[in-house]
Amino acid sequence: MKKQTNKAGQDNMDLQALKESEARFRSIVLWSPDAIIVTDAEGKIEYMNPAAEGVFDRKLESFIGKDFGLPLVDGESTEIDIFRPGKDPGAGDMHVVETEWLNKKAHLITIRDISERKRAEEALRESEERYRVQFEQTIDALFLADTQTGIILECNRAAMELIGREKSEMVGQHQRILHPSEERDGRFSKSFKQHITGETLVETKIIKKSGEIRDVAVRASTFDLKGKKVILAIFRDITERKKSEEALLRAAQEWRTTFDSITDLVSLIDREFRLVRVNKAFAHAFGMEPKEVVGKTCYELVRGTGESWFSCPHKKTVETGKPNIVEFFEPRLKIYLEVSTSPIFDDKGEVVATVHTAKDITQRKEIEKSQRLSQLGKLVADMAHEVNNPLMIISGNAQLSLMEGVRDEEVKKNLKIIFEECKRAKDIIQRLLKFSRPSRGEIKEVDINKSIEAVVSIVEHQFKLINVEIKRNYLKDPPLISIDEQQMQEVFMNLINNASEAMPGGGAITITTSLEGDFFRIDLKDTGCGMSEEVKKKLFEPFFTTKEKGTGLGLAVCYGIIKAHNGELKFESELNKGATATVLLPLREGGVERSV
Amino acid sequence: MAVKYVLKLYVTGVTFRSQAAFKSLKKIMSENYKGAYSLKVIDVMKHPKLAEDDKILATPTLIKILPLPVARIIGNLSDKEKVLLSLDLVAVR
Repeated sequence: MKKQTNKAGQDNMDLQALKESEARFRSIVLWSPDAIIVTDAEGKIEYMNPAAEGVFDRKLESFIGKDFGLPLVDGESTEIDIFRPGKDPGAGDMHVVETEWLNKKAHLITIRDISERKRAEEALRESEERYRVQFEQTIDALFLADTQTGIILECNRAAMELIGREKSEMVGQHQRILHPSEERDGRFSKSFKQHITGETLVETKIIKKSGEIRDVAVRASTFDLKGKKVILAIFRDITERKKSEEALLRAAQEWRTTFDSITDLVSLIDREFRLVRVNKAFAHAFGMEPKEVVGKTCYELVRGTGESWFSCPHKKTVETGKPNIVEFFEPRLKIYLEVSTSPIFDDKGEVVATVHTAKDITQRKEIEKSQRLSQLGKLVADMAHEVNNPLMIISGNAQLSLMEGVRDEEVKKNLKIIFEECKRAKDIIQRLLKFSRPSRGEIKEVDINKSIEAVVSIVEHQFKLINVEIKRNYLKDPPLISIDEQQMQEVFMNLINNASEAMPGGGAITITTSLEGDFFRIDLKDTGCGMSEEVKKKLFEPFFTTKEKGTGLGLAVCYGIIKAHNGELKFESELNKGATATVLLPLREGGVERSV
Repeated sequence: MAVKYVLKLYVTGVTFRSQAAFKSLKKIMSENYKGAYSLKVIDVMKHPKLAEDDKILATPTLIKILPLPVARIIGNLSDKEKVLLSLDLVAVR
């Protein structure tokens, strides 16, 4: 009896254990998130767990007993597509185990829905692909490097083109291989160090595999990548840009140098008469630097007035759009100027400014004047020669008549007068000829005091008769000067005569010789009637005379002679207060020029 | 010559997996049953109704219609031995 009870108890315990075991395994199958399908050996579905409905996203009662199919995998997993009618397909990981099910051969198939994972993988792949494409295809060269070791981690196609190396030659190498040795600072390149310390944009040089060096601008930033501090650098080739910049700078400098080396006064003036730009010559003419001049109005600077003058060439050009030239004497700078203005147009065809060029033509004017004088001289000489001939005939005939004996006293007197006047006429003509043909006399070193004295002695006697006293004030031990003595004595003669003629009632002529700087100075002072302002202005003009019987050539001739010696002749005088003629002759060699 | 094998291959879209399955099968069939088979490929995305009717759960699924009995296999068709075995074995039965 007891045995039976025990067996029953034992059976109870076994049943209980079995129930518990079954419950455990049931939960595993029921609660598994993966689909669990059990098929027979041929692939017919015997059981599907609740999760299967979720994985296949439909009711699956109708599938029991239907063919799932023989799963062609054993032990390992294989990926399959999960068919979900009307929805997107899923991705599944199928794992099959051959086993026993209720004492029959069966397949235990587990299908894990890996759609999410697959999607994530795909998204990541796509994302990675996108970034990779961007990295590779960027026109700028990209380099990724480790900031600590300086090793290049990645580079793109453009980087290969820039450096002329394959990726394999650069990735894994130290970044310094990208730069020429002069760009290096120790193990790293200078630019790398600058970037690491925070500089975003650095200009540096790279060296290609061929050895060619190019200028580059590098933009870089550092960041953390999986625990490593890395630097991403964008290299842009700026060699051409730098060349252009340098060329531009050179051109600007060349232009500036050219502009400033022009000796004419050049300025750009805008419509408001403001000086936009001036060259050095212009600024220096007014004792300023170009910077100080710019911005001022031209009339304020040049004329010191508040507005432009009516003949202003700049104004005319602005109005007409045509170039303009005027000549005038600039009182402030005391020179003759030729001013030309040229218009500058904007793209609408309006005049926005003029180029104003002022040329010092004082010398040209003087040359023109002396040319005129020499032409005049030539004319005079020709005329003088022409007149000389008839004069000779008249004089000759008068002389002949006188020699043949003339009884009539009246006729004799008249003939004498004719003869005398002819002589006078001849003298005048001589002077005319002298004026037109500055004679080529001898140049020798002379003691001027003695030269003057020679002239004075000729006239002194005569002067005494007309109450003109001559006082001498000669410089002791004068230096010898190279002059044409004959010509210079003519000058002295002329001046002395003029002085005496200014003192019809008598007076005194004081002759003083001295040294003044590089010149020998001769002063001839008289106590005569003096000269007015108008007379002073016209003193040297040919044919100007205050004398009744004067030819007006005397001083013109003197002036010519002295100028030929590179000297100066000037007069000081006031009406009724006498006059002083001053001759300055250069002491040095080369002081005398051959006349034209 | 009469067609010995009539096959239907269900695939999902034009994925790498689908292409691989088709290529493998084609190779196996042309090598072993040259000329004596007819293979129809059905894209479950384009013909979901057919797939539903045929009670397809996953792809690639290959259904052998002839010779009888009808059989189906699921999974990677790259293992030639396994495929042949599955087809023949089922046929022999």
